[in-house]
Amino acid sequence: MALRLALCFVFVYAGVEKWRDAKTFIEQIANYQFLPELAPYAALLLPPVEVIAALAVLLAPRLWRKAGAALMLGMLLFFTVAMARAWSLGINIECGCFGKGSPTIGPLSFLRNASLMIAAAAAIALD
Amino acid sequence: MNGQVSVTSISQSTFNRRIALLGQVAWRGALLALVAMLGGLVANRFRREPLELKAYAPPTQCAEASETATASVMSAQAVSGLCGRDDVLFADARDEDQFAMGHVTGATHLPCTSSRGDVGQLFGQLQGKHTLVVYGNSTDEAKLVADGLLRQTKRRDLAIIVLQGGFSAWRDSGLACSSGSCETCNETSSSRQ
Repeated sequence: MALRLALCFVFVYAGVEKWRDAKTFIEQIANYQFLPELAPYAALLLPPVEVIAALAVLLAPRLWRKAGAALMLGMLLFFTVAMARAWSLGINIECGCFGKGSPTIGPLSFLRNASLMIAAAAAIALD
Repeated sequence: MNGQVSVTSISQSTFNRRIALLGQVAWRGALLALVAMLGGLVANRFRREPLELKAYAPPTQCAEASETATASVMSAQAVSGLCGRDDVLFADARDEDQFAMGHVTGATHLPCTSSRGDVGQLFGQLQGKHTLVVYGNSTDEAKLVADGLLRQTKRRDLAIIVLQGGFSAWRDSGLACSSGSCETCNETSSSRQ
């Protein structure tokens, strides 16, 4: 339960912050220089998915909780690949993980994502 | 023998159950994502400033120069010493027509109004290189671009240099590696070897 609560808190916070300042989030996505044309679509669609996944993980019946955690795991995998790509290209940008003022991509970002992926996988396996 | 069959059938049924569970989780996940996205589209309409769903348009002006990181400026003669080196990349910051009419051979085209995807390509091309020479129509024009690039890269082993006087200074110095093969570059390179 504590694990699910922590995941829920992180994803709701991330989703709300991105939604609140969508224009900054669009810039942050475009800065990844990976299909920047699609940044407005991603900025509009990603935050609600994060929030809904988080609410499902905390409040929904068992299979829906697992589905929410699987969604989180998928998003985290995608985010990590995007960050790794930017990192390997030497692009020095904010990760955009928590909207405005997000930390710059670095080892700590990967460590945080790895921890969250382990937590999401555990939420799927142990529930 | 019966025991083996029994173990096999149990593991098979466990496997089938897990696959079924995976399917159940997958369609629920897809449904959650779909509902969330539709919710996002609806909620967007009620924002004070709804997001416009159109392709992202990068800024059409050059990035502002950084106050902390600035590219160094070198004369055409000094830069010619770098020409032909494997670890050096030239980037042309002028518009497409000017680039087509003449450019340093091997230079990548990088107008300051380029999409960010193109900047991504540039960073890709910079792998294994340690010097980027940016030139434009003038020193100032290229410097804006170079400073913007300097802010975007975290590579400390990459030197970004601005060609003083722009492409015209390079061409007027007789160093032009303009359209076609870069004979001047090759000559410079071979004469140094």
